[in-house]
Amino acid sequence: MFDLVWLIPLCPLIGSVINGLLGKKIKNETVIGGIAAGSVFASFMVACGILFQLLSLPGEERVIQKTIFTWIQSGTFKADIGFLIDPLSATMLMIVTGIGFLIHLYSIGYMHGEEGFYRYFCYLNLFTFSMLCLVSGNNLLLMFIGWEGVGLCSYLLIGYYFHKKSAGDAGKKAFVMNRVGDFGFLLGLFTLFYYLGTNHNVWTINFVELAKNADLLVPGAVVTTVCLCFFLGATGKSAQIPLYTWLPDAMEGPTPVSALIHAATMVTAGVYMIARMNFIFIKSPTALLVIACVGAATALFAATIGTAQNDIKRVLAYSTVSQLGYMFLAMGVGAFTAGVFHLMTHAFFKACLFLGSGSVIHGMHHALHHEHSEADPQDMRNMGGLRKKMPVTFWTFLFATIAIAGIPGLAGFFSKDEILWQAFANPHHHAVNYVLWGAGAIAAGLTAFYMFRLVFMTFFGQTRLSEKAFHHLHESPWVITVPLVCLAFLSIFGGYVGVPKVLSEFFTGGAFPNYFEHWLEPVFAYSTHYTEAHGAHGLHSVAMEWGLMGVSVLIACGGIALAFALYIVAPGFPEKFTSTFPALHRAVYNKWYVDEIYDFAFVNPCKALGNFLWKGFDVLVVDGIVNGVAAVVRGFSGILRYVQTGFVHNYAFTMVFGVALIVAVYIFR
Amino acid sequence: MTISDLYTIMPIVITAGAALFVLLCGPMLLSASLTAIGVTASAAAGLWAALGTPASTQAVSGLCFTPLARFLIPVFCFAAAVTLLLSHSYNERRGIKGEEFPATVLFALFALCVLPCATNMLILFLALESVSFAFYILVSMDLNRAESGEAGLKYLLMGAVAAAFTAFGFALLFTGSGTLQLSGALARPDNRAIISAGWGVILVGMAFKLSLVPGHLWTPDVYQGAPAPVSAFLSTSSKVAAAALLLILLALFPPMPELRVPLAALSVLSMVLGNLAALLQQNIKRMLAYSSVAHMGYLSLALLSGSRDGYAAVLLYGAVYTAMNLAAFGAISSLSIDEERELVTDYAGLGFTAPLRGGVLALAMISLAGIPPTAGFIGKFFIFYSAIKGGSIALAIIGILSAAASAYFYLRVVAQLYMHRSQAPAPRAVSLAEGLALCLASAMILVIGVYPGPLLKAIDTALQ
Repeated sequence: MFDLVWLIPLCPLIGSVINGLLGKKIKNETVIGGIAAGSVFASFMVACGILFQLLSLPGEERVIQKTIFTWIQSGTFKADIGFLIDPLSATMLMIVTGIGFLIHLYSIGYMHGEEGFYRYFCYLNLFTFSMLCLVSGNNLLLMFIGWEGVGLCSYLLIGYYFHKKSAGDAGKKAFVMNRVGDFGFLLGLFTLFYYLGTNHNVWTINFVELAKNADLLVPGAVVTTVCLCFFLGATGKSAQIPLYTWLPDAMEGPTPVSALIHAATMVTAGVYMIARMNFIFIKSPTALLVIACVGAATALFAATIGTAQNDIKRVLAYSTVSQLGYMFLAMGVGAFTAGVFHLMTHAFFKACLFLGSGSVIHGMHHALHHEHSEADPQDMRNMGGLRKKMPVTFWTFLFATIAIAGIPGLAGFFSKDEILWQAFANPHHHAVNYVLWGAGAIAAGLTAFYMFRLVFMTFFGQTRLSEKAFHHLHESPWVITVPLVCLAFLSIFGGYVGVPKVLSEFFTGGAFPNYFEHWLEPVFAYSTHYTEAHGAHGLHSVAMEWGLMGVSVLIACGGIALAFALYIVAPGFPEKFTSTFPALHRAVYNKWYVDEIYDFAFVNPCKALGNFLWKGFDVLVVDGIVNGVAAVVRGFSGILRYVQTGFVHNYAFTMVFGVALIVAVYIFR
Repeated sequence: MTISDLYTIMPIVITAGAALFVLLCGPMLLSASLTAIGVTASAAAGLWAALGTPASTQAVSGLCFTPLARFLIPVFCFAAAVTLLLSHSYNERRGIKGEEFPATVLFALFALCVLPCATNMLILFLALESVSFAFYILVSMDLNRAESGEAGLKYLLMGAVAAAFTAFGFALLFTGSGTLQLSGALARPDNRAIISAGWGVILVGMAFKLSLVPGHLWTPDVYQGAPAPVSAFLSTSSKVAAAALLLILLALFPPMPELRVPLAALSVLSMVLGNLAALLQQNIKRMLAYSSVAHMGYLSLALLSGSRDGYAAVLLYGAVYTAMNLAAFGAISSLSIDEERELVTDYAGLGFTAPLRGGVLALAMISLAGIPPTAGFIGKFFIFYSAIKGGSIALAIIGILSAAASAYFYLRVVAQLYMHRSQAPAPRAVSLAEGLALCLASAMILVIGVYPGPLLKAIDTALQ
C-alpha cells in the first residue's frame, strides 16, 4: 500500500485537470461533481489503506519514505519528489481526504446551478492536491510548494463570486498576507539549510535527515531565528496575530470553501508545520514562548471580536482564528500531541459548523428569494426559530456547538482541556504558565458564549423572517445533510481516541488508554527526550488536573448560561448593553480597528510610495531636476536642441549621474 | 579553419545565412514562407547548438563554441523562433510588411549567437552592439504608430550613450590587462585601478542594457512603444545577452571587492523601485517594464554572490525569464485587435472568452510572481539561495520581501482575467503559429517548474 502513496495527491490533480479542461463541455453537474468527489474519495481509500498498514507495523518502524524521483539537484542542494509516511502525515492525510470528500459531496448540492460550476470543482480539487503535497511531502521545499499552492487556490476560491467587489479584494488581501508569511517560511528554510550546511556540512532539507541530525542544532540565536521565521510563515497561513485579518474577510468565498480551506485544512498547515519540525522548535525556548503567547493572545483576542459579530460566517471565522490560537498555544508549551489532537477535533466540529451555516444560508437564501427580499441571508438578525424548519441542520449544528464549547463527553472537550492543562503544567515557561492558562480559560468561556449566542439567535426564539419567507424555508437536500450528520458524529465521538489519562483511569481504570498520544509518540519522541534530558519537569498533580478541568467546564457552562440569559430569557438586554457602552461595542464590532490600523501603517504608505516613485520620482523629480540642468546646458550650446522629444537627454543624464556616483564611490571609499 | 571547425560554429553560419537569404530573396517569397524559413533556421541553429559538443579551440579567430554558448544559443534561438511565430499574424494586423522584420530578427539572433562564442573583447563588443542595432530597427518597425518611432529613437539615443560607456570600459580593461583576448588575460595587480575603473564604466553600460536603476528610465517607454512581439524578444534576449557578457567578463577578471558596492546598490534599487513603481501601473506593458527592472535586480543579486552557485542561478534565471516574458508578451500580442490592449482592465474576462491566451497570460503572471510550481519559483529560489549562501543575507531579505509584494500587481492581471466580466471587444481566434508559440513558452514555464533537473544539469556543464 505504501508504494501507492503517490496516488493520493495525483487523483485530485487528475480530477482538477479533467474538470478544468473539459468541464465547460461536460456541463452535466452530476458528472463534474462526481469526478471531483470521486477523485478525492479514491485518495481517501488509499489513505485508509496506508493508515491500516501503518497501524500493523510496530511503533518504531512507522516512518517510511517513498521517493518518486530526484527533483532538483544542483551543487549541494538536493530535493526529491518524495513522500513521508508517518503517524503525523497519515493523520493529516486522513483529515484532508476524509473531510475533503465530505465537503466535495456537500458542494455538489450547495453549488447547484452556480455559474462556473466546473471551475469551482477544478479549483477545489487543485486545492486538495496542494494540501496533500503539503502534508505528505518529505522535504521542506515540497512542503513549500504545497504551502504556496494552497494559498493560490484559496485566493482563487475566495474570489469565486467575482461579481462582488468585496470578494476580489478579500482574495487579494488573503494572498498578500499569505505572501508575507511565505517570505518568513522561505527565509527560515534558507537559514536552516545554510546553518547546517556551513557549520556541520549537512546539506539537507529532508525531514527525516533533519530529524536525524537534530542534535547538531545547538540552541542559540540562529535556531531561534529559524524558528521565528518559520513561525512567521505559520502566522500568515494559520491566521494568527499579526497576520490574521485576512481570514474573516475570506468568508466572501462559497461556504464549503470556508469549511474546507478556512477551517479544517489549510489554516491548520502552520500547526502541522511546527509539529513536523518539533525537534527544531523544542531547541528554542524563546521561540516557544513567542508561539505560546501569540497563540494565547490570538485565542483571547479573536474570541472577543466573535461576541459582537452578526454575520453567521464571521462569527465562525473569528472562532476559527481563536481555536487556531489554542493549537499554537499547545505548540508553544511543547504539547505537540495535544495541538495536533485539537487540530483534528477542530476539523470535525468546525467543518460541521461551517457546513451547517452553509445549509442555513442556503435555506435562507431560497426563502428570501421567494419574496424578493434584499435582506442579507447571512445576518443572524434576520433569522431565529429555524430549528423547526431545518431539524437535521439544527441538531448537527447543536452537537458541534456543544463540542466546541468544551462540554465534557464531546470531542472538543478532550482536546481543549488537554491544551489548557498543558498550558498550566508544562515545563517550559514557569513564569507565565498561569497567564497562558488564564487567557485560554477566558477564551473558552467566550467561545461558549458566542457559539451559543449564534445558536440561540439562529435556531431559537421567534423567527424574524416574514411569514411568507418562513413558510418557504425548508431543510436542505441529502447531499448537504449527509455530510453534516457524518461530521456531527465525528464531533461527538471523535474525541474518544484521545481520552486524557486521569479520566480514563478514573472511569475505566486505565483500560481505555490515550490512543492518540500513543500513536503520535514516535513523531515527538525526540522532543520528549530532549525536554526530559534537560531536567525540565512539568507539574504532575492529579488533583490539580481535576480541579482545572472543573474550572474550565464551569467557565464554559457560565458562557452558555450567559448566552441563554441574554438571548432567550431577556432578549432586550444586549441592546441595552450596547447603548450603555457604545464605544466598547463599536470597538469590538469593528474588530478593534485592526484593519484600519494596518491600512494606515502599511498599505497606504506603500501605495503612496509607489505613486511617488511612479509619478513623483520618475516624472517630476528626475525630469524636473534634469530639465533644470538641461535648460542650463541648452543655454550654453545649441547642440542638444535637435533632441525634440525633450525626455531622452534627461534619461541619459540620469545615467551620467549614475557614473558620477559610482566613480565617486571608488574615489572616496 | 577546418570543416570540423565550421561544424562547431554552425549555428552562427545558419542564422547569418538565413538572415541574408530572407533579406535577398524576400521580395520574391510570400511573407508566410519567410516566417517559416526564419523559424526553421532558428530551430535548426538551436538544435545544432544543443546537440553539439563544446570545442576547446577557436574555430576562427575570435570565435569558439564554448560550453556557455552551448547553453545560451538554444535559449536565444527559442526566443527568436517564438518571436517570429508571434509576429506573423501580429504584423499582418498592424500592416507591418516586408522582409525586413524577419531578416532583422534573424540578424539579431546571429549577433546573439556570436556573443557567447566570442574569445576577445572586440568581438564581444561588436556582438553586443549588433544586437542593440537590430533592436533599434525592430522597435521602430511599426510605422503606423507614432509611439513606435519615438520608442526607437529614445532607445537609439540612450543606447548610443550606453555603447559609449561600454566601449570606454573595454578600452580601460584593455589598457589594464594589455590584451584583448578573453583567455588567460589576468588583471595585473599594479593596474588594478584602471581595471576597476573599466569595470565601473562597463557596469553603467550594462545597467542600461539590463535596465537597472538608474539606467532604467527608457524601459517603460520602449516596451510600451515597441510592437508586442518585439517587446517579447527585446525584454528577454537582450537582457540575457547583457547578463552573459557580465558573466564572461567575471570569469576573466574575478569579482573584485570594488564591484560589490555598486552592483549591490544597483540590485537593491532595481528590486525595490522596480516593484514599487509597477504597483500602480495601469498599462500592462509599462507594468511589465517595471517588473523587468525588478527581475534584473534579482539577477544582479545572483551575479553579486560571485560564486558558481550564483552564476548558475543567473543562467537559470535567464532561461526562466525568457520563457515567462515570451509567454506574457506573446499573449498580449495575440490578444491585440486593431489596437493593442493597453490597460490592465482591457483584459477583463478574457480568461473565459479566450481560454488559451488568458490561461497563458495568467500562467506567465503567476510565474513572474514566483509562485510554484512554475519556472519563476525555481528561478527565484536559486537566486535567493545563492545570495544567502554567498552571504548577502540582507540583500536577499530585501529581495524576497519585494518579490512577495510584487504578487499584488501580477495577480491584478489574473484577477482581471478571471474575476471580471468581459467588456472588451471579443478577441479574434488564435492563429496556429501563435498557438504554437504560446504553448511552447508555457510548456517551458511548466516543465522547468516541475522538472528542472535536465536544465540544471545543462547549466552545470555550461559553467565549466
